[in-house]
Amino acid sequence: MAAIVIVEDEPWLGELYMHCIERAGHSATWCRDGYEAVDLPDTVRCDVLLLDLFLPWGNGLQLLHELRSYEPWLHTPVILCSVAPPRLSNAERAAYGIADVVDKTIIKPAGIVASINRILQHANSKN
Amino acid sequence: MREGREKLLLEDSQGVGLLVAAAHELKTPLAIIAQLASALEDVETLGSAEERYLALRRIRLSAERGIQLAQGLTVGYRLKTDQLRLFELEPLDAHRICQEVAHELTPLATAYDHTIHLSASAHHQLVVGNTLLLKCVFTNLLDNAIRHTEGKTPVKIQLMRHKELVRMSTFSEGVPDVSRREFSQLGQRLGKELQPFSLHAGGSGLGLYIAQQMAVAMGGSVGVGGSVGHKNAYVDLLRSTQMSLL
Repeated sequence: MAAIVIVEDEPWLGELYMHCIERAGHSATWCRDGYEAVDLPDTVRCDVLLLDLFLPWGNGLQLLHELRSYEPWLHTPVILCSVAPPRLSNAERAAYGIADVVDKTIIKPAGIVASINRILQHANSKN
Repeated sequence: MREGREKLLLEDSQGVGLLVAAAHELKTPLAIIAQLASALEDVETLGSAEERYLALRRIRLSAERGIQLAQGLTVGYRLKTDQLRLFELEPLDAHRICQEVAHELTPLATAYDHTIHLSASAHHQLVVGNTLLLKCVFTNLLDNAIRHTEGKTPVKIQLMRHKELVRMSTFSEGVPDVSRREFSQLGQRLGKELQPFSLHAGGSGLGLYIAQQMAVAMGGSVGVGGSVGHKNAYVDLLRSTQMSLL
């Protein structure tokens, strides 16, 4: 069972993602903003981080810089999730450790779960 | 001539910026609707009758949020194009407007596990305003307070008279959407295309910007206050005794 952390400020989407991820057999922790998220690395394991780009008081990439400063989360793969997904080059993706970018306006919850499973499978095959 | 053209270009660029901001703001309720509808299609994702009812209710409330924003944009456009005659000013009972908006948004508050508390007013507070504009403004403030309040804490509405003004406020727990400084720069910020890497608020602030324009059209203003943990937004309007000033 993998541990997935969701950072999503829209509560109805956060709840939906959590529901779908748990139904897929993973554990899920959901927080609504960067203030809650920065406390997580001390207590929560994270195998994949599902990160919203637009957050109250700080965007997702600023938060990611902060989270990367915690050693256990240094290489955690990230799925960047947004209604306005940025176009990132492979080099930019690698620099931020972004494994996937999903567009919230077209992705289905099942698609998010599929992306998580793909990333976990890829990580397992490397180990 | 050149100055006039530069002014036009500036207005045009702000118009494009507003259009981009509006499209961005509308994407969120549409994304919620699309994702919940998709989850509903898959019987295994939302299996129980209760889960399916909850999803349907959230779809409806998200659709209403989109419609509210679209209505705000339409009214904002009419104000920009000098169609002020469509919005006649008259004495309005601010307490009644608060009650009506609170009543209309109670289903939304319930969906977010909040309650709305309206401080009782000992007497009627008559203000100068237009019913449609004032309801749009206060709906925007209360809607923001409800959606971004933390925990199961109540959202409070307060009416206060101060000299020639009446202040209609919302108070809630949570991180303020915009600081006072950001609020004062909303017009300029919305004039530029949204930059995902530099934008650092949850929304673009478009709703507040439109609310401010509507308040100004009524001779009033919108403001934000509070600090981390305590949010406050308000609209100040002239008391009806000041109507002759307009």
